Amino acid sequence: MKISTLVIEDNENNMYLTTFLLENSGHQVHQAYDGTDGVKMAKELLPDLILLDIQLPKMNGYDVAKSLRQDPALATTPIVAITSYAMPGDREKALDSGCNGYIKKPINPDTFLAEIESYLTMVKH
Amino acid sequence: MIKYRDLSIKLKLISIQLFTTLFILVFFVGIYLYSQYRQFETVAFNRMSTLSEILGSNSISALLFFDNDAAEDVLKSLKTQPDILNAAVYDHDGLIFATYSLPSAKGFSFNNPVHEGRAVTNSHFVLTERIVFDNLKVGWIALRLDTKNRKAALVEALWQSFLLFIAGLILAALLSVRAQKPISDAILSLSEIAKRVRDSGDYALRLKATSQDELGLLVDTFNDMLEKIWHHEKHLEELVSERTLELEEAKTRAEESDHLKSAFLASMSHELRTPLNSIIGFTGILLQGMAGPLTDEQKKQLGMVKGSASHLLELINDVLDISKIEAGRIDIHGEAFMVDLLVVMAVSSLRPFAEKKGLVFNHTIEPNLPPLHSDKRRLEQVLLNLLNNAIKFTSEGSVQVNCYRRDDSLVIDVIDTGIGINEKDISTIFETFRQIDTGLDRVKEGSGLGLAISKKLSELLGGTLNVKSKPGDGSTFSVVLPLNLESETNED
Repeated sequence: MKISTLVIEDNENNMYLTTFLLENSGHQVHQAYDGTDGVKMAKELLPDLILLDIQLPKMNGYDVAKSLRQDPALATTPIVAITSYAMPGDREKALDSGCNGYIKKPINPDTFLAEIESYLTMVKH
Repeated sequence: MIKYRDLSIKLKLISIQLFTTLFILVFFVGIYLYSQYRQFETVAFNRMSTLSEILGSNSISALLFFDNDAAEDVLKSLKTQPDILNAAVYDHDGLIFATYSLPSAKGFSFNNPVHEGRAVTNSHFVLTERIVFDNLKVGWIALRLDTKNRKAALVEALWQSFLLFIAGLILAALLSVRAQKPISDAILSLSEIAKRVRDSGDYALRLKATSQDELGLLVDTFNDMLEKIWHHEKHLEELVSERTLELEEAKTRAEESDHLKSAFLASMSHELRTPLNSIIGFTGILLQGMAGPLTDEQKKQLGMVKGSASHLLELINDVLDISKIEAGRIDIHGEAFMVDLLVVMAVSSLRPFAEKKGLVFNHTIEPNLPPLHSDKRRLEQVLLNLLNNAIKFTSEGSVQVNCYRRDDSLVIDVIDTGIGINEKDISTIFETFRQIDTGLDRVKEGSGLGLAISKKLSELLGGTLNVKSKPGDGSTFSVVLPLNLESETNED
């Protein structure tokens, strides 16, 4: 069965890139282009994995993560922040708001899938 | 012994008045006593003179009729005068005619013949006067007076003076206590106000002048002085609050600009990484052949794109790092870790790069090093940076890494056989945006920030980064970090 992954990302090129990589490794990818849309889709689809950009229109990634964690159905779903923020404290802020992991942009296509896989297995156990 | 000049003004004033009064009293009492002494003599002789006049005229008939007995009877009337000891009447020729003596003074005899006049001895007065009848001298009369009453009179006068003296002094004391009060009160209130001003720093306090004299003038002057100080103080306060306000504004502006700088950094970092994500991502996908097979030429060109993009990312990271360090916005996360593992990982990750250039790349690690308590990621960043530089600037020979313990410090040496550094350049290589102009090979890839970042990171980790080098002989960079053995044992 295909892994269902929700990607919340506002930059079209980057959305295309992530989707391409995930679909290539057999994920079923759902796309949300802003924060509120992301929350709505996550609650409807209950995906296996959520990849979350932080700087998003309408609702930022931290708030998205917090609101998703309040839904019991999404309480244990792995959420990985994928962000260009690289200032001190950004990583902690992402983890504090409920993300399981943090991948800094630019992503490395050679290792990206392996990293995603590690979060999936880590949360499963 | 209390000195006069240390007495209070009040006591000084009182004592001045008392001593003046005392002096005056002593002077006048002396005069009084002396006059009393003199007056006794005058009064005594006046009395004797009156007596001799009465007795003389009573004796005239006795003298004219040569009746001695009648003259003695006249003299006997002196019994009523207890201080007249002896008396005598002389006849016309100056010979004793009749005598009188108190029983206690029987042994005395007057001069014979007569000596007219007054005689004063220690204990007696003697008065001898003519007896005159119809302008003719008919005889003399002499009286002798005991002066013992004089002492009693003097003693009495002394007592009176003493009482007057005491009364005078008491009166003077009372008066002086009252008289000094306005003066000492004025001075006391002046000093009281001065003390309150000193203690409270309240220069708005004022003293009320109670007199028009020099003290009143002093109070007015004192008030004027307070007024001036008060104005000065107020001016100073205004000045200080003005400056404080300016400083606060400047501080707020500085904080704002610092905040803006940080926000700018964060946003630049984000904005630059977003497009790089696509560039590096898609280049990777294309090179992996995930989007279809590539020709060799395409692969070569895409490899260049990937290299340039990676370099660009490195530059962005360096600029961001140095900005974060300079803005004091870098976090250090201390943890205990095995440094030998870190060195091995760093060396093996760069080994392909060194071997591609044909360099000998070795490392030695002292066995049984204690765990290092530091920020692993930052130290790794420093080490990778030094290794990258060493490989980059060495075209033949070797790059050697030695990791060992020296006293309470851990040392990591990175030794290369590269181009080396001129003495004049050594002091500037750790400055930001410096890359040594080698003349031949103008720009090696890199931002020129690597060494500055590495040095600052080493210092943030509590250590140092030093270099020894000779042009042509290569360079040795040494990271020295404290081992913190004490805190390590505490944690165990």
